[in-house]
Amino acid sequence: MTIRMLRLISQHVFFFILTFSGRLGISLGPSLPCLSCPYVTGCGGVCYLRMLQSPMGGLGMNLAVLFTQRGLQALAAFGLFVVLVALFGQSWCGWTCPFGLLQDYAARLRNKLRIREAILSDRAMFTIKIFKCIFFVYLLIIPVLITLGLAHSDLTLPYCAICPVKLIMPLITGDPTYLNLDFTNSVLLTESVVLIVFSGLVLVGMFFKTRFFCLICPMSLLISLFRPIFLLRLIKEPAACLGCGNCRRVCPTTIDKSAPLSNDLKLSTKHIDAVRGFAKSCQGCFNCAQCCSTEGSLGIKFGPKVIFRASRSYAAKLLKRKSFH
Amino acid sequence: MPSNIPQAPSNAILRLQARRDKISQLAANEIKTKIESLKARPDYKIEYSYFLDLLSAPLASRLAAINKPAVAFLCQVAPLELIEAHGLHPYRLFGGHHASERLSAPNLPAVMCPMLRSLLGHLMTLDLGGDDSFKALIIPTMCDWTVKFDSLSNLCGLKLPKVHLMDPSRVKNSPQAPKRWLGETSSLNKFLESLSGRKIGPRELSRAIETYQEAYLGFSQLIDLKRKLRLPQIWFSVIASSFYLDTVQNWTKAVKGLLAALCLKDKIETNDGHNKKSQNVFLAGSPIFFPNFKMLDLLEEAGLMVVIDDLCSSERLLPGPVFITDHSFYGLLTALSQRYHLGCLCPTFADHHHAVNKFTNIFINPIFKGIIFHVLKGCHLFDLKSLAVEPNVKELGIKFLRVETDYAKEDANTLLTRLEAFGSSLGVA
Amino acid sequence: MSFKAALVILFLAWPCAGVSWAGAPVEAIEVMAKAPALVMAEASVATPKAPADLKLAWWSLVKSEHSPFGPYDYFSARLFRLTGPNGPLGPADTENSEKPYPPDHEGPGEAIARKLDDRQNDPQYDQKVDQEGGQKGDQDGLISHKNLIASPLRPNSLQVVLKKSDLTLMGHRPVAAGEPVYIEASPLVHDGAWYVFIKADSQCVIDVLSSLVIGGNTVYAQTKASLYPPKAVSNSPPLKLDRVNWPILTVKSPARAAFRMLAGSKLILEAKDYRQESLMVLDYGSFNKLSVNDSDLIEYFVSDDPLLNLSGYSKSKEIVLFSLLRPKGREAQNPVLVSFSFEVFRNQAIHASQKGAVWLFIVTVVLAFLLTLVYRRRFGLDD
Repeated sequence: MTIRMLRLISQHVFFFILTFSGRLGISLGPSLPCLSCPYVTGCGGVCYLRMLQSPMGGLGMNLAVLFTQRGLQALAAFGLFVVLVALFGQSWCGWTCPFGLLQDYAARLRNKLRIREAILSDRAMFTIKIFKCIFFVYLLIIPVLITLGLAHSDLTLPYCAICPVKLIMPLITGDPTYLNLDFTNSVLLTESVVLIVFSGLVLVGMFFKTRFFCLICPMSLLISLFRPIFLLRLIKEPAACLGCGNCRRVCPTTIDKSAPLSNDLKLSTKHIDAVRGFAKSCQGCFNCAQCCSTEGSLGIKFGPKVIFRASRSYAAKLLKRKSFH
Repeated sequence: MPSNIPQAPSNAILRLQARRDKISQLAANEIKTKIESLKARPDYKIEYSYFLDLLSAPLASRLAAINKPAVAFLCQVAPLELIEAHGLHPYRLFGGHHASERLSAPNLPAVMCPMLRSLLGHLMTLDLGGDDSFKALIIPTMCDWTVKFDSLSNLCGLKLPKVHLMDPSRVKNSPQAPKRWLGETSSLNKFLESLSGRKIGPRELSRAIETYQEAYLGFSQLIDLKRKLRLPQIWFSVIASSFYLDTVQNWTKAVKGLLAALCLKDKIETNDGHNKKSQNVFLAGSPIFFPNFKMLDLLEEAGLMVVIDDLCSSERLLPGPVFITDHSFYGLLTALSQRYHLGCLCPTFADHHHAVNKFTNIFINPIFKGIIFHVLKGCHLFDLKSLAVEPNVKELGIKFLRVETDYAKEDANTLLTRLEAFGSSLGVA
Repeated sequence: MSFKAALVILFLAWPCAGVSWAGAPVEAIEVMAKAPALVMAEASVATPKAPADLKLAWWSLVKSEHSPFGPYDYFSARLFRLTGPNGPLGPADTENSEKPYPPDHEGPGEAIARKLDDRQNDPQYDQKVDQEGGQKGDQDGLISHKNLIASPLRPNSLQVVLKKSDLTLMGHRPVAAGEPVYIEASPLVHDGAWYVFIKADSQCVIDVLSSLVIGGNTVYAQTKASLYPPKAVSNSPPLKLDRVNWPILTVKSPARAAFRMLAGSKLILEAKDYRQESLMVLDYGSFNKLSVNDSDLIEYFVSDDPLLNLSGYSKSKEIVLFSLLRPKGREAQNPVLVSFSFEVFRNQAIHASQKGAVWLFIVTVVLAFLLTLVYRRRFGLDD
């Protein structure tokens, strides 16, 4: 069983759980570090971004209730989120996110049609990452402003109101509820228009570029803030790297400046954790470690224990399937 | 005299022809002798005979058997899959005969890469316009000698088929390098289109890549066996040298048969009759081509077992797995071009410091006790590389021996002495 | 102008144009709400006897800045005082009497109730209201019973014309003075309590009676909301009823809320526990499996997430009932303050807003594709 196969199984299992198992009464709670959308009827757990923005357990809370039971509940939800992120790091994106799996299927469709993947220039990538930061700040600031009475109350859950996952995931399950224009007032109308246009752009983007939405996903940014405490992480032995570039080629977010390609040979040849955590857009998919055909150049560590090391024979094993993706 | 009456060849031409025939015979004897000595080894298996037959057969008969137009190339950086996708057979030109050097030497500089000198001599014995013909010659300009190959072949009076030069970006990790090499690969594609007369799409290229991936799978397993000392370096080199002498599919099939045979063998006898006191070494440096297995024979005689090597004629025969994430033609071409370019550890590149990592990799270090760096006289690049590698490995406490030689057998005893001394310094097994 | 530039401008301008083309602006909803109720003409039922005296009191929407419970708009509880033993609503169930607010807190309703108590026996009160042009009544929010007329639509309803109010429909649109308001006795009786509904027009319910004041005592009854969407008013497109915030309730355990909806309507319920003193243990029921109890109501139990966002379809039944349960052992504790807000959508037909949204989405995707193809070199899709 290769890591790739394990990951595929994990993605599908979590897709099923997070999209449908609410109908069976299963709920994994409101602190999930992946885009498990609560607007999907029967979702089996809720993305933590919702809690983060909400007036019930997040930044939209009235400060007066901070030291009440509700405040404790909010802290507990945050604590659970931190624990989950610390345990599995950015792998939540690559191994469990239902929207991530959807994007992977869009990429497969593109490959089936033999259409070229879009290549975004460094400048374009930089611009996209700015949007990621803007979304993140937006979802943090607006609930606070609402609580202070400085923003319209209909801006509640500001990021959820424009998140494409809210529109696309229910559509996948046959629910077109959120595909509507809300004429109640200008705020809601603007939000619904932005939601629809943004979703359309993301749908096109994820077809032409693998894991396009992950480049702007605020959850990915939120997770990456806890990078120093990740237990599960990618490690690199720079003195083993032969610079073949396999890692960059198989990276779904085409991390150009990633540590796997670091040529910094000033680092000691001792076995060290050359990369503490992941680059910001990293999916934690470990494609790079699997496809590295140089002994020990890349590896996966959980806590102090190395659980996987790249090797030529493992990379050759992956070739038994006709394609990697 | 009427111009349509054929003129008798001049004496010079006759002498040259006689010399060619003689050298050709000597080269054939070299091959025959080598093959007989290989067959006489105690670890010879019947599964090796396929590879030996390929190496002993004349080139013309091999090309006829393959039944596809052949495209020759000089260095491993030209994507083989692309050539295969066009319905052409990639054939690597190399020179391993000492005898052939004598034919070309008078026309060439005194200090020159002996491998290319041997190759030019070998080409002089072939009927390039007839049965031994290639449709084209692809020359990646990896070193000064390959850059000047066309001129050198003119000096030897050779009329080469169509030559396509490829200019690899010597600074591998610059931002422009991938694009430039992709441009070179694309222009190679266009060149091959003109040869094959057809355009290929992603399906053809995909199939070719899969074919070579299959070959790599088998090859990788051979490397695993070598690491476990179950496949001696000599046989490994025989198998690698025969790669281009048959279709990839046939070669892969034969490798799988060999793997089955080797894996079924009694596992107690792990090193198949080798000297149990042999020391494991890392062989690096200039490529070693059949039948010039002088270094390999000397290493065995000195009790040194090559458990890993860095030769482009051996373990670096195939660039490694090509992982495809973009299945468009552009994506496939990009994957190929990057794999061949970035994965190449030839010392021609300016920023080849990654290549040093192969020696200092702490996950590989434990399997060998010392490094033998083989440098062919006249090969400046490997000479320089040996000087760059030595201090790094000595810092790690790894023993290092630089051996400079050529195709002549005169220095065999001296080399043997040095290798034996080196082996002693590694300690008893 | 080049084709590329035109495409970019179209892409940027389309959402605005699409929105304008697609949906009904808010004004249209107001117009519809103000339109005379066509259904009134269709019904002809006997009108009940008007009460001898009837006083109503309510107060306006409590704005967020006055709310002690956070920045939410909600309708305050209405107190309706129906004096007279022969009131059309009949005797109330006094066993459930309870103040709407904790004993130590006098809400605005309480204040008015107290004032009404003081004026209860003032026979000149109505006269004073009329003489003063409704001023006094307006200040107190009282309406003269003379303005009460029977509704031809509902046999148990009374139509009231507002003198003045700042009652707001759907949280956003004020009900204009002079606009007919109906007070209707619910045809549904549950647990022996009567329910009164107020409607601003025949097309939507705006509020729910949360307590009943009879004989000077505030009788707190279980709350129900009922929605009477128009039946087959062919000229008007279906409405999306906006978020309506319910009054803050003090509920005993178990508390129930019921919704009457048309078959196929969808209800989304959000419940917030303001008091934070006790967890509401809300059983998770099954959305799509609607069970029917003896009284032909469907009971739906929801989970213990203090922030709930539930949705369910009523397939064939018109009434959906939601229950809140207190945790075991906490039943005797102070009542939990809960507010409900809900949105009701019609799913029977594509709304004008949904149709527009679908078109907006499709055209966005198509334009994005076209732009990607046109600018393919920039996106690295071509050499």
